[in-house]
Amino acid sequence: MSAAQGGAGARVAAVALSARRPWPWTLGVVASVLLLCAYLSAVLVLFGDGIGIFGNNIPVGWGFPIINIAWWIDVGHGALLIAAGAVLAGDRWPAIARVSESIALFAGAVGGSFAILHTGRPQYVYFLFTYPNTLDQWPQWRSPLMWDFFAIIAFLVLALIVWLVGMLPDLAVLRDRAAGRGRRVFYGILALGWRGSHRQWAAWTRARRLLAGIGIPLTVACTGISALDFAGGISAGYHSTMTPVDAVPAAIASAAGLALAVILILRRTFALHDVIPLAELETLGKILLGSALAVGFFALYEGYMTWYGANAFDRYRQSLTLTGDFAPWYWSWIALMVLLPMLLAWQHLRRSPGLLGLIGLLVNIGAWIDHYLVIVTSQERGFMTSSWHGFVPTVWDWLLLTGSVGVFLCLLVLQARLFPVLGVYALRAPAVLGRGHG
Amino acid sequence: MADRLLVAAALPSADALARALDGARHAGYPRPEVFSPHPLAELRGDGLGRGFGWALVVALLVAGAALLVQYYAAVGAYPMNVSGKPVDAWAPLTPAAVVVGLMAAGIWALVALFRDAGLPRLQHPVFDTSRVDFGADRWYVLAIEVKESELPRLRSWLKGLGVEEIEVIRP
Repeated sequence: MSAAQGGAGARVAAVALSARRPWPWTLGVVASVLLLCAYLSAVLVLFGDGIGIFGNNIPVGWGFPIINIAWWIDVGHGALLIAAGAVLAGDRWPAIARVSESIALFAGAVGGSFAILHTGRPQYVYFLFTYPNTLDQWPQWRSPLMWDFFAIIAFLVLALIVWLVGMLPDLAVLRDRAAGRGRRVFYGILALGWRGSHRQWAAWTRARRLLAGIGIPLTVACTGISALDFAGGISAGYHSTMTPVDAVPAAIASAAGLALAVILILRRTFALHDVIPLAELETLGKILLGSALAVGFFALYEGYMTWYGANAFDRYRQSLTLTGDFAPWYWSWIALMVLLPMLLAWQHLRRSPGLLGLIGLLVNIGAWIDHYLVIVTSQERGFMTSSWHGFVPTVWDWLLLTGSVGVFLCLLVLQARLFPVLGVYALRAPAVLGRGHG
Repeated sequence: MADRLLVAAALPSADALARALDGARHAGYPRPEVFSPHPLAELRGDGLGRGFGWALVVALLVAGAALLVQYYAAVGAYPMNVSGKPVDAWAPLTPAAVVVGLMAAGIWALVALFRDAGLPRLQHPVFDTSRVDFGADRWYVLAIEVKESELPRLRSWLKGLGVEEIEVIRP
C-alpha cells in the first residue's frame, strides 16, 4: 500500500520507509557526522592525555564536562516529564509524546557519557559503582554524588523502557507496511509479534500510564538529586536549599524548547504540516511559557532570599552577577530563558512556527548559560580571595560541547529515518483523526 | 486440536467491533478476540489502572532492600567517619533507595506488559488473514476460535451482525 492510499498514520510510516531522502535530512546527517567526528577526536585526546586538556584549574575544578552533564541530563529529565504529562493527559499529542520520549533517552545518554568522560579515565569508571573492593574505596553513601550515580542509572533505564513501550505498536505498523523482506524481518523482530488485539492494547495502555506515573516522581527526584550535587557544596552561588526545586521548571523549559525545535524541523523536513497541527505546537509553547515564568519567579526569589539572609558572601556574589564581572552571563540567562519566552504570551506569536523554533533553541542556550553561571562562576570567587582565579575554556572543551550536540543529532536523524517520528497509533484513533489542524 | 479453527471477520468500524465483541461474549463464545490499529475508546480514561498497586509493592520492596543494603554497608561493614556525623543516620540513605525503587517499578511495568500482552510471540494465526490489510489506518477484526462442528452456528451468528464474508484459518 502506498502512503497516498493510507491516512495520517500511513504518511508518518512512509517517512521511515520511503527511499526518498529530503535534502534537510541529508544536511542534518552531514552536520551531525562532522560534529560526531569532533566529539570522537576530543574523546581520543582526552583518553590519551587526561583531563589536563580541559580549562579546569584551581579553584574551578568543575568546568565544561560537569556543565555538560548537568545540562544534557536536565534536558532529559524535563523531556520525560513532558512525555509523561502528555500520556496522562490522554495521549492527544502524538508528536509531543514521541519527540519528548526520544529527547529524554538521547539527551540522557549524551549526558551519561559525560559522567564517564569527566573523569578522563574510562578504565576506572567502575569506581563509580558501589562494590566491596580490596582498595578500601568504599563509597560514601551520604554523598549526593553517590545518589546521582543511582539517579542517572535509574533515569536512563526508565527513559529506555518508556521509549521502547511507546514505540511498540508503531514498529508493528512499519512491519506491516514495509516492502522488502529484510525490513519486514527487522521490524517484525523489534515489534515482538504485536498484533493489536484488545488484550494487548489494554495491557499497553495500562503500562504506558503506569510508566508515566512512575516517570514523574522519578524525574523530579533525579532532577533534585542532580541539583543537590551543587546545593550540598558550600560555595556562595549554589549553596541553596531552593536549588533542587528551581531545577525542575528550568529542566522543563529547556526540554520544551528543544522539543519545539525538533518537532518543527521534522514537520518541515518531512512535510508533516497536516499531521502535526499548530495547536499541538501551541500546547508546547504554553508549557515553555509557564515553566519560564516559574524560572523567573525563582530568580526573583533567589534575589529576595539573598537580601533577606544578609549573608555577606551571598550578597557579594549577587553584586557580581547583577552588575559585576558575571553580569553578562546573568543577564544573558535572564534574557534568553525568562524574558524571551514571555513573547509566547501572545497567541499570534505562539502560532508562528519559525518564532517558536527559534525561541526553543535560544532557551536551550540560556539553560546552558544558567549551568555555566551556577557551576563555573560560583567557583571562580570562593571564600579565599587569594585563590580567586578565572576560567578559560580550551578548544577541547568547546569541541566536546559542540560534539555532544552532534551525537544527539546523529541519534535524532537516525531515529527519523528508522522509526516513526510521532505516534502512529494515536493518529489512527478516530478521536485524534478528527482533531483540528490549527 | 486439529478440529479447532480460527474464524476471522472484518468489521467496518471500531463501534461495530466493540458491539461484536460484546455480542460474542453474550453468545457464549469462549475467548473472542478483537484486533484494531489503535486502542478502542473503552480503554481511554482508565486512570493508572490496576497495575498501580503491584508497581507500588515492587517499588516499596526494592526501595526497602536498597535501604537495608546501604544501612548494612554504612553501619556494619564500613562505618566511615564523615565529619563526625552519626554512622546510623538513615535519612541520607533514602534518595538512592527511592530512585532504585522507582526504577524497579518501571522494569516491573515492562515485564507485566509482556506477560499481559503475550509478548514476544512472533507468529499468530491472525497474521494469516488475507482479507485484512494490517498496514492500513483502519481495520477492525473479530476473531473467534471454535470447533469445526460449531462453524455453521458461528457463521449464521456473524451474518446476523451483517458480516457476509468470513475467513477460516486452521492454526
